[in-house]
Amino acid sequence: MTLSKVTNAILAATILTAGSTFASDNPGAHQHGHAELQLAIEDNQVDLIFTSPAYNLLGFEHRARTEEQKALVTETTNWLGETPLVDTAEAGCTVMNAVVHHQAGGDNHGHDHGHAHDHEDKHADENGSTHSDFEVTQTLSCSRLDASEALSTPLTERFPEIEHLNVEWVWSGGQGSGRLDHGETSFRPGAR
Amino acid sequence: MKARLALTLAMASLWHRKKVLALVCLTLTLSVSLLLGIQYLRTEVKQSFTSTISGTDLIVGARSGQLNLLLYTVFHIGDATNNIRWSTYQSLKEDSRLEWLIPISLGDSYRGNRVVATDENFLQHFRYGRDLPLELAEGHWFEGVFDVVLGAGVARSLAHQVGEQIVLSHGGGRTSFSNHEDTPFTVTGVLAPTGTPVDQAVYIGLDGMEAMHVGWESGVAIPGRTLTREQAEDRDFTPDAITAAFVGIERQVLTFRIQREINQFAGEPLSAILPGVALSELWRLMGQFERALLGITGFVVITSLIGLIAVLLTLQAQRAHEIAVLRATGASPALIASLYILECVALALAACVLALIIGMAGLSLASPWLLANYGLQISLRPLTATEWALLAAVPVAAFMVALIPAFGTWRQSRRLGFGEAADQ
Repeated sequence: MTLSKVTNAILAATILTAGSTFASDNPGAHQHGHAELQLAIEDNQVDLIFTSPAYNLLGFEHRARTEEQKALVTETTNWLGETPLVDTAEAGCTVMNAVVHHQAGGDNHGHDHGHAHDHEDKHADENGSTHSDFEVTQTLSCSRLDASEALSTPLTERFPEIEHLNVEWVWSGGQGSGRLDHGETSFRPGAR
Repeated sequence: MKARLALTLAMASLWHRKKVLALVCLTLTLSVSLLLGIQYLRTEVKQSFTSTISGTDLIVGARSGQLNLLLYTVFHIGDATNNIRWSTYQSLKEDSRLEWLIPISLGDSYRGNRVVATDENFLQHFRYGRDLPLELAEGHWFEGVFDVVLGAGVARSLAHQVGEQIVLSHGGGRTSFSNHEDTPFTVTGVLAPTGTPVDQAVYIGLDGMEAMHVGWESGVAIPGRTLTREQAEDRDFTPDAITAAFVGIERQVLTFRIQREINQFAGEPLSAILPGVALSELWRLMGQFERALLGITGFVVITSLIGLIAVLLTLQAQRAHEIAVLRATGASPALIASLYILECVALALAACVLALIIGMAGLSLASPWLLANYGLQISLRPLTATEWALLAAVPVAAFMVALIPAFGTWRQSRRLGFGEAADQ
């Protein structure tokens, strides 16, 4: 075996391992003005995941420095933990469980709501990322939930920085998606 | 008493002019059918498109965009960027939350149609339209290494029968110069038409895909190294990689969580997409098309209603003599007005009912033919609220139109000054 073949083999092996080690670590896409809401609807229960760059919700992405910024982080986190991010026309949904992940820091803040809590993801800073994201998971219990009726979200009105909210849903009638622009609040999973 | 009089008079009047009325009714029926037909088609085309694949909760492939993955796995447009390892597929198979997996391996073609290597799960679990399973029009699903099942479109356009032998080509493209001539495949079955890209592909086993590429390592067949059918029988053809997998999830509420886990799979960069979400995004991209159809519907609504008004007004103009006689014999303006209204609304209702019957009969007769010849799947379904509203607009418009001559009669009677006298 010639030297070049050996180097080639090593190189190939390195590339392969590098590929398998780091490929799944691609940093997530981060686009200001865009946010994503994923809903899984089953009977009267909604599981949702909301992801958004922190900028859309706070107006900054660094760790909260001033008291004002810390208060804003607390307020936003509390709101995200307590408000059902989707609701029926009759406002029949209540938050059963909510988890808010973010890297914006601020004081430790408990929630009034029983199960809600939030985490500060410190490891984001280790990666040296200058961007930070919010990720909210909620479990909602809704009375008279009918996915063929219109559902609404308070997100686009509460956070004017969200210009496009991609909504994806899964329910017994299938899958689908829609896009809410600023000011649009309702969508119909069952629309033909 | 008055109502009964109006009714008898209206019936007599209608019967008297039955030939003209039949023609008017025909015109109305045609425009109502057109109106409903365009609206129906608009929703059905969207429905047909968005249910190209149904029941599949996730499609897993190498990392790429969701539209790209959807296009090459479902629509057979474009090519895969990368494959996924067989070991990854095996580990997905072990996940108890996944109810079933359909492996898909692409890359070869048969006269311009994709060759899809898969297994029996494709027949069992693939769904399209409103949860419709695949069915074999003739023959059975492939069993042997060199068995092939044809999509309905392929079998029709190339006039293949069960039992024939076909030679698949290496790589894509309509005219391929390197064919797998040493390993012909036997047609064991033909799928029933689905109206989806499933019709435009041929299906072989994963082992068949491997077997026909033995000896093809350099990209062309090396004589003496390819397999014969006999040699292939007792060899193991476990592939190293597949292109993608369709996944069914037991509890759909977990879809997003499993999607996220697959996207973050440490072993290999994967993308899991929700086909329904990708399809609706694709449809949104083609929003121009839907808007064009909506525009056509709008024009058809306007022209149909104007046509309706014109026809009804012409009809009333012809009745001047009849009305004059009725007025002379002492019929009140209210009675005359009710005659006009009854006639117009009755005509419009008759046209609506006829249009519905013609539409339903036409659709149930034409849909198997459309599916077989054009791959268009348009099924009978109950009308939506919008369609009922459109249909209801026809008698309402007729009612409004009838008010015009009715009002004219009333005004004329005021002018002549015997309106009050007739009422007494």
